Amino acid sequence: MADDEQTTAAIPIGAEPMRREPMGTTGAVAICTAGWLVPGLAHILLRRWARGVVFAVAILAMFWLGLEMEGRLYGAIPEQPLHTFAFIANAGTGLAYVLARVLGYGVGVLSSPNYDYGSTYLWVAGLLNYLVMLDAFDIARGRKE
Amino acid sequence: MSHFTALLVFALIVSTVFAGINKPTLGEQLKYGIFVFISFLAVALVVGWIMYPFPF
Repeated sequence: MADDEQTTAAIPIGAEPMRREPMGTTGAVAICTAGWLVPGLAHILLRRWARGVVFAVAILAMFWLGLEMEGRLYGAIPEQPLHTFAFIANAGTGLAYVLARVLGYGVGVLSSPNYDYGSTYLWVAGLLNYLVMLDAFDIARGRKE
Repeated sequence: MSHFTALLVFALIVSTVFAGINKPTLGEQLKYGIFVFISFLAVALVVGWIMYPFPF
């Protein structure tokens, strides 16, 4: 009873229902993969609707602003190993990264005054999504509410 | 977008995500988010002023 009251008091944004049974590792990884492909989707699948929508809007807005500021999306180039870190950060936005690359966005305009800011936005959008994925993993495994 | 606006938007988005990840209730999220947002701005302004006299 006391445990129920504590759990209810810790409900995140809005009246979001709790998942009582922790998922197995496979399920949690599948949820995280969905969250990697579409930022916020993992939380939505875990019924943390409000948080999922907030994360999706925040991360995709940051990604879009990075492209608008003519930042660069890095690819995996074996000859330039230092670019690997930038690639890993960029790839965190999942499908948005793939779509932007396929459609030719994120070329990066070095002469633009916002180039560095744009590239940083693009990196941080991906890195934030990795954090959101880890949060979703913990929720799915029952370590967090 | 001016660089200061870029800083404001960056701080707003990152503090929103940090608050959502780190705090469970809406009240705590708001408090923590505002704290992180103000911290971002304060640190950026202080570091900016410290770096101001540097010629590089």
